Amino acid sequence: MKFTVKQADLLKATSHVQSIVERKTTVPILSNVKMTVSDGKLILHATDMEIELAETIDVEVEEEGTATTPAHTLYEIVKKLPSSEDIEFTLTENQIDLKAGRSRFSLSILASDEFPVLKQNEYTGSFEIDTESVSYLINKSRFAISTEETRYYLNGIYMHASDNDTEDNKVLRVVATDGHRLARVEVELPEGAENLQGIIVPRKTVHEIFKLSENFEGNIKISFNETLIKFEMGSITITSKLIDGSFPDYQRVIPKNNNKLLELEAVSFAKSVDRVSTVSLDRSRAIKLEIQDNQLTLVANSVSNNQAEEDMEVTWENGEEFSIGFNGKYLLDIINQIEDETVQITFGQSTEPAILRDVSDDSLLYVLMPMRV
Amino acid sequence: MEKIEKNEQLGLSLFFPADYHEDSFIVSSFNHMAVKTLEAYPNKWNRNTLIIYGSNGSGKTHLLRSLVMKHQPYFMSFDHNYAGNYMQMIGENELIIIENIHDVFKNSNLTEEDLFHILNYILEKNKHIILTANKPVLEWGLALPDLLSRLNSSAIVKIDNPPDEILLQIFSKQLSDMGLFLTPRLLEYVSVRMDMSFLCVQKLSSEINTLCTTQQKPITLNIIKDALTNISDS
Repeated sequence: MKFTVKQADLLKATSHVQSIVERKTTVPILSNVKMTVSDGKLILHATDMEIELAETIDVEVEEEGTATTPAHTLYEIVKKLPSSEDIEFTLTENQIDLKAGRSRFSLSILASDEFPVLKQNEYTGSFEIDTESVSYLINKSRFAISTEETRYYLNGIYMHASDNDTEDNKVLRVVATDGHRLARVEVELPEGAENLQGIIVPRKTVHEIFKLSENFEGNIKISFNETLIKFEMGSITITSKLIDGSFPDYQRVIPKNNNKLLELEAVSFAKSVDRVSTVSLDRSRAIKLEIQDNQLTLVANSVSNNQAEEDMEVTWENGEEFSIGFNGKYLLDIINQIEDETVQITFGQSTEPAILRDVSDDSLLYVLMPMRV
Repeated sequence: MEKIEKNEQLGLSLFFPADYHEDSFIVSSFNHMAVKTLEAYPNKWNRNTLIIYGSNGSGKTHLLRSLVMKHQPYFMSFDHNYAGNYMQMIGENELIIIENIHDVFKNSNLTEEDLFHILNYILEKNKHIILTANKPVLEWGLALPDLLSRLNSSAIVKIDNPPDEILLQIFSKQLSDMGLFLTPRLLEYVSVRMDMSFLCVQKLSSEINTLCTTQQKPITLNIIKDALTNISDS
């Protein structure tokens, strides 16, 4: 195997690859990237056995072949080489040699035929969706994905075709929850996604797709079956196992009868929450919201007796005095997703979940459990 | 300035759909008769109405979901807007199921007369109906003699209280449906401290689910202790 590749092309591809490859693994071959050269193309494969990335780039081929070499080391080398240089790769019997300008490197190799591939079953459905929609669905929901590993059903986003709330439109809906808050985001249902009955896409895959979508324009083709999901984004294909489990019936935790409506200016509210939280940096980050006569008072204090209070004007149609506690970080996570000037919060009782919405965007809905304060 | 005295994050009431696969269903002497009766549908049924009763959590729903779904039953449900249109609801369906019939009267405007008409219609059209309840017919509080008589002439199967060993398997399954797993040591701890009843299994698994969600933790000894305390206080 012998080929020459542009530094910029290889840097971009290896940056995607190194994100997939785990830094610590007990299986040596999983630290490697597989390189396959043929027909003027280099295909890079990386996997952690749960997610697999394949990326194709143009190269000048002198001799076709395949090899695997440490992914992170390759990335670090390519990153440090001048962008003006072409890099020449030559596979020898025991190593792979890189030459760029006056720099020379030799990297270890492992047998290519030992490189694992995800078993591909036939896909039962596929659809195309614009990158902006994918990015939106992920960006607005991923903060609510659980990081607690035992209840692994929650370690991803639940994606399915659904009716919207008013049942006048079909939507592609994404839901994430960690048991304290829940994010529900939707976009118009792409053609072909009608039979997407509910799959759980793992957290790592979600983050990788989001990162890739930031630098990709055009449509993404998504294929799925009961165990796998595949994202085709131009020269990049990501295939991922799905989480094998049942996502909770999220509709049951969305309150139907919250009737105390609070409307307030989102940016000011976020800044106030952030300021007041400064004194409650313990694990709970508790903040109390006291509302009366169109005025909201945010109160926080800590075990070490630090205290903070801040008032702001709000619209409170209920009229009655009401107070409720929240984790300040959770509040900020949600308010930061609101793009309208106004955030709308509806409450039930002070121990019941609140609903937070963007006034001008029906496709976003957040549920937040309060704190007993 | 008011001081916040204590902080406790509350959790969402996450409800996990139960696993109703046939291979996850536990068959033993306590539910053997119900299983045999449902497996015999429709050829060996000599009554049009079957009543299955057993306490909450005894597996009635699981039993139906795993054994009769292949017959494409129609689950008939009622609310306060029920307009007496049972013929239209039943339509061409051959097997009708009304779950938790003991609750239906208080949660809808279905009357005893309505149920009597439904049973008569089933009989007349030679269709079949399964009613599930958590107690025997005599304890449903019915007043209409004709309905009582009709129900008492139905095939009636009771799901008994299972042996402790089976109950603990059911307890583990309910937790597993919620994505939670008990180590053998924790199971042993809880088994000598809980009431051996379906009701306790249901309450305890639900409380453990709530605590694990709230604390974002797997099941620990402390969570088991708190759950046992909370259900005994409630």
